[in-house]
Amino acid sequence: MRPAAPLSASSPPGARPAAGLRVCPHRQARLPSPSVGGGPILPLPLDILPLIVSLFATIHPVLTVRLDSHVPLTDQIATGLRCAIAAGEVAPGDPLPTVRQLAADLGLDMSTVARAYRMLEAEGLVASVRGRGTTVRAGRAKARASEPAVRAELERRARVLASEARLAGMTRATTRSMLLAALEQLWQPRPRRDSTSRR
Amino acid sequence: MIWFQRLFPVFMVLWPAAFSVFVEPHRDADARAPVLARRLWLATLAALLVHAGVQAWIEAALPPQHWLRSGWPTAYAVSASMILWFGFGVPALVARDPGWRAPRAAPERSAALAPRHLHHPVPRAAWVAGWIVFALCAGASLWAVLAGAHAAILLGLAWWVFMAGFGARRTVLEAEPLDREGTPELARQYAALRAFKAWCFYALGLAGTVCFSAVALLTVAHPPLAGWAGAALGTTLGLFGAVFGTLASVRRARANRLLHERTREA
Repeated sequence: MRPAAPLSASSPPGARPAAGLRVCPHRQARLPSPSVGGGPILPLPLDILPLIVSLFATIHPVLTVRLDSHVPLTDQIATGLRCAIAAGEVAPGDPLPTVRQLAADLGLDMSTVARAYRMLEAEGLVASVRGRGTTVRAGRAKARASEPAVRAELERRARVLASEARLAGMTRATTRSMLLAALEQLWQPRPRRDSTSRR
Repeated sequence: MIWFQRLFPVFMVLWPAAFSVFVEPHRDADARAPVLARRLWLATLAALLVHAGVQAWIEAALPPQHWLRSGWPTAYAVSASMILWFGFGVPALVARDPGWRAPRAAPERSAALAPRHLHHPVPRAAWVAGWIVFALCAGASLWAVLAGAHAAILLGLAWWVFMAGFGARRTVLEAEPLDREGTPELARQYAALRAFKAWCFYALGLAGTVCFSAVALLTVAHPPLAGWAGAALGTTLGLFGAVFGTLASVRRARANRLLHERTREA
């Protein structure tokens, strides 16, 4: 059986298959990682700063984009944020990074990130207030599910997903279990991450 | 004080090349590393010769009272060290160890959805305390200017505080690219770098404010001492800034190297 390919919008055709199920790229953010490194670049004596800051550190979801994908970067960012919101990684009222910060971290143009934020704002998922940043909105997404256009688009995407799974050589049973696992992962109850990140 | 004026630029000019000696070659070192290292040393030598020539001319042409007050050593030290560091030092270091540069060529890029602008490492109370110190120092400097000190000192004070404050605020918006897994250790390295830079900018701003005001007050209270104090305090601030900048670069390089390792593993 062929391994499951990543289902993120950013996956290019022919990309290296990921190990295991991956609904959204940022969902892997909570995995603990062993310490790695190629030795010290320069010795910093008594460097306890990382240990101190780790006491106050919060784990945040990670957004990933691929430059070599056929999907536009704006759509990749918007999809990643939608996944994070849908999965509860960022809850209603949570502030999002500024356009400038996200663009700097991803090494992209600010206008690309700003367009993605505007797309989500138009969908009612986030709200931007000048000078205060962008926050996740609540409730609106549920109301949109009853809109015929939204429902038709979701059905279209489901068909595309099923078609791609079949073209990739996946069996019906595998595809079904993959989708069910994704749904279970999305709807499972999640503990609140950190009270300091809420307003 | 003459040795301050003479040694400060030499120290600043030599710093990038001397620093590069302590960076160990990485296994992924570029083949051009020796060439770039030679270029750095040649540029350092040229910078030292230029400084020696101009300084000798200034000392020969101007009486000591004048050249002691000239801004040449400070201006030259700052500009030459910047050119040497960013123009020659960083390329040489990157060639020796690619960890000094973030892997921007990678097709996959990741970022944490963390609103860093809301969580500045310097707490609000420290900012309030800093602004109170600034207000007191600005008041003292204003009094000194009205009593006869040069008005440029107020401009210098305002510029210094603006630059330090701007730098401290901007640290939270600097690029912090992650790997796909969002390695916690990498996030910790970035957080440590952020805290270090923010606090150093804060300390630099606060110390500079006090130094500017002290020199302004000395100009009125004890003019002969003002020049000496200005040179000593300015040199100390410059050295502190150089050390802080270098240590911040080391921290950044560490994070970059970890990102390289993680990206390669993925």
